[in-house]
Amino acid sequence: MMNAHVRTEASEAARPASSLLEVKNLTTEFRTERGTVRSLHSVSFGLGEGEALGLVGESGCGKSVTALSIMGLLPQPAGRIVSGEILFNGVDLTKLSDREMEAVRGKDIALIFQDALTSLNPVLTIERQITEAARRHLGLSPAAARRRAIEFLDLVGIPAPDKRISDYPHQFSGGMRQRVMIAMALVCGPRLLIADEPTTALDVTIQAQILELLQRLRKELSMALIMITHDLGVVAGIADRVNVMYAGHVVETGMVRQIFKNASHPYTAGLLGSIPKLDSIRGSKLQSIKGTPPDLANPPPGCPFTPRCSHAFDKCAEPPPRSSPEPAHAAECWLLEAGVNTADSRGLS
Amino acid sequence: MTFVQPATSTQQARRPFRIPRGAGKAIGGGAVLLIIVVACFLSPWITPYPPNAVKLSARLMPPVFAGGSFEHLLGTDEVGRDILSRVMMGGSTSLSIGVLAVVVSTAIGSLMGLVAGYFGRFFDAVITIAAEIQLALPSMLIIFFFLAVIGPNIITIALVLALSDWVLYARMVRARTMVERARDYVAAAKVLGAGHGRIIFNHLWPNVLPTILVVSMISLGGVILSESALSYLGLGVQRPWPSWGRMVADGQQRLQVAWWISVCPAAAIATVVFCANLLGDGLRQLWKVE
Amino acid sequence: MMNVHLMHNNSASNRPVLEVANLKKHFVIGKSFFGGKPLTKLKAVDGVSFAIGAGKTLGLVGESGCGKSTVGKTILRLYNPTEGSIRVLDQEISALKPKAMRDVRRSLQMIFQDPYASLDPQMTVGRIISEALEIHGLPKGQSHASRVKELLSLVGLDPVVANRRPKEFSGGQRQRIGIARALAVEPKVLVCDEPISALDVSIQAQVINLLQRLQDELGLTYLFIAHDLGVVRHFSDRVAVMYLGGIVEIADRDRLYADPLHPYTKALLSAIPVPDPDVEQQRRRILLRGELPSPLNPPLGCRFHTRCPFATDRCREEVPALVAVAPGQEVACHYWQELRGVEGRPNQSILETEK
Repeated sequence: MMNAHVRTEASEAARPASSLLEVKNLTTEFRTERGTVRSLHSVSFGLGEGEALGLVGESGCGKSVTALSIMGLLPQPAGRIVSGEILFNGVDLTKLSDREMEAVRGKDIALIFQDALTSLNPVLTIERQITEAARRHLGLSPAAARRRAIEFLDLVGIPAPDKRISDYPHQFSGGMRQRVMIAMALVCGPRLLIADEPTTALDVTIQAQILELLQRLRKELSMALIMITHDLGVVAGIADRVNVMYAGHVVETGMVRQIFKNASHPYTAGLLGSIPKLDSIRGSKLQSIKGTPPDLANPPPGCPFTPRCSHAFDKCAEPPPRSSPEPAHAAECWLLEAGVNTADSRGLS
Repeated sequence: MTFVQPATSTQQARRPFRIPRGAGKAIGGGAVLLIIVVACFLSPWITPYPPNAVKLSARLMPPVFAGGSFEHLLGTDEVGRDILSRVMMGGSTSLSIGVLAVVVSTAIGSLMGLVAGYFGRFFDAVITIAAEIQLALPSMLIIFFFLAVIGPNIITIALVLALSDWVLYARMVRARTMVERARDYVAAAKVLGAGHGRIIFNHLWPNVLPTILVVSMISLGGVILSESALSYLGLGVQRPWPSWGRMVADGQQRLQVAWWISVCPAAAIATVVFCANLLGDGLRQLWKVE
Repeated sequence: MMNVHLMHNNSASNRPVLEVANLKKHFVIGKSFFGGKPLTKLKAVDGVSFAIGAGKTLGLVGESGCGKSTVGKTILRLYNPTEGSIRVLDQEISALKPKAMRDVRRSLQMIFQDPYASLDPQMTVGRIISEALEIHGLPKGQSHASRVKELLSLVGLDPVVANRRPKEFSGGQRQRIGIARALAVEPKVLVCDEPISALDVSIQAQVINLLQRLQDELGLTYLFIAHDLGVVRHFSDRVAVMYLGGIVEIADRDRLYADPLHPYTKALLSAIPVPDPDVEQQRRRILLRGELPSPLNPPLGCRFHTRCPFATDRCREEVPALVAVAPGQEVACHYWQELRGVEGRPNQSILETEK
């Protein structure tokens, strides 16, 4: 608490157990027409003050569900947290009442979504929408809240913020709306910002602007960031640490360089191989992963990646243990346990 | 955000069977409707008594649950005709008119809607204006006019009712067609060289069919009610042939002493309308039609 | 690998299989049925020219709204071109009647972006594919069923799936079905309209590999429309960059990525996130200011001048033509020579003389 504004150095491998956010064995389920679907299987990870964590994976891997679980925004009544703890500053968020959670949400933890247009209320001016949170959480007067809102619109790079503040969401372009969303999320000075695919709907040149903005704001406001994306390039640029998710499991976690340079899980290696390299030869084959992600209502036993894994062997029918090839780096794979380095054998697939 | 991946076939086989949303309504409504339809259309062979057989010894007998005998389950009317037999017979008339009217209006309406929605521009403008004119005219007056000029018989009544309903289908199908037309599978068919006819009948029609069926079920109830109303007013099916509306009208003078003469056919109308709506609503949920 | 490919290139003839010249597609917005005044013209495509040789791939890249998909759809005559010529296998098709166009469609097919919308949900996979055969009275002396099986195996699907419906398949599998449908008529040219952008990363690689294998096996010519420059680089021989309805730069792929000349190409290349933390956390991005102007009201002069860090008065008035600046490289910028090798922020002194 006292060190709230001291940034933890990202490169520090070992991290004290008492960090800003500690997710322990989080398991989340959804009731669907097709039966109960377990979206998160005992997910654990920690996040230090001011740290940026990338959550990567393909659709349905559980990265968005992780965000919604932390925010207490699982769709009701279909979704529920079955077990596990989400410690934010030592307080277990899963135990908070709706009322208490409302005080945390927006003030200490903020969330921005992929689709800014549907997340903003179309019939209210952005002034109303930004100042509402500032007045509720910070107890500001209307005039003070307006001043703060203008300050934050300026911070996120909206030109002429004192005029634009009385506009409606549809009067902004896609990139500008995403900036308004970010201003709204930041106005109460959260310690943690969760960004769920914030640039997926945007064009690359606009994406570059927003990523640059998030990076700058994170440093200026010394807040922690969870960046949820399917784009490994985005993660490479913004994250200190990366969790790779597959079918509701965190299959690999590590510092960003460890993940990209020394991937230990065959899924991570396959994902990296699927992206065309800058130096690839025209006509060369990409290292694709065969098959499709499993049906979450009916996952394979043991390691969820087994049916698609080119290294799979008998052991994979049992849940793999978490093993650590180097400090701060861990993966759930039987190969690691057996001492085989996946990264070296990547070319075999 | 998708939490559930599309299933592959091997995984589907192992999943426990679940009743899809809407199936209960559709099956329940459909089953009762089917029983009524079968009973009514087989009425020439299975009625307990000939529907027009007069039996003065058994006049105004109440239904079995109101103190009558099992001889006449739903009682008899003022000249001793068996109500159950007459309700079954009347049902075959009322249902025939209803089904015929719905089939005709569906056919006209969907064709108009498909043409308007697919081609747009000129066709769309003409059909939309025709539909608007139709909507602006008081439909009951038109129906009265036609029936007065041509004279009431089953076919005329059905056609006249269809005439006032086609607009409903045309608008619905036009809206659906415009949505479907913009989808890539239509573009793909064009790229393959498919002509207008193939696109309309092989691609668009099957994709708007669920909507049409749902709407036709729901409007079947409405048409049967209209037919009953016409018969009640004396413009529908003529005596001595029973139809449900006719029977309700005939029984109303004796409502005080023999309520069952009117109430039994009225209950039949209500049941059919309710079941048709239930079936339509169930199908809507089942096929995820908006 | 490299050698095999080069041999393939050499064996191909030099005449372009698909040639587009000064193609324009303007949409009229808000015209009423009763013939009121046309309100606005949306110049979605405004003078695009390129040619693709047999067995080659041209990547067409740009951001959403730049008109790249409209180019593809106009080539396939899903839209009628406003102006310009489209030649397929030396035949001018821009004004062909539907009946004559049907025969051209045997050589020219398309793969769509959204595999969920591009397959008729009410048809079985077998019918979806055999419809193509029906329309063109194919194949000669072979049953539809066996040809469908052949096509399904060709795209890597189990032939037994022919009697299933599209909803039973995942996105990647559906895209394979769409490819099989396009290949049913044995086309020479495939227009691929963002064929992988709706798919997950691991599935994208599968589809790219499939398209590449098919090109090698069948000698297909591709117009590959995409917004992902990394994928386009992997896939194309030549790359054209579009901005607001026009091509700003077109070059052989290695040239374009090694030495981009147009400021927009430079910005676009610098904006792609690279999956390598060492590269990514060091590099400086060229951040373009603002966003894409509305194509309803495009800027006068050079279309890019509102966002260009180097724009001068000349750019605001005079439209730059696409000129050949090196073998196989064309660029539409007044100052490409002055800007050569310049990255990032504008260096005022370069263009000082102009002001």
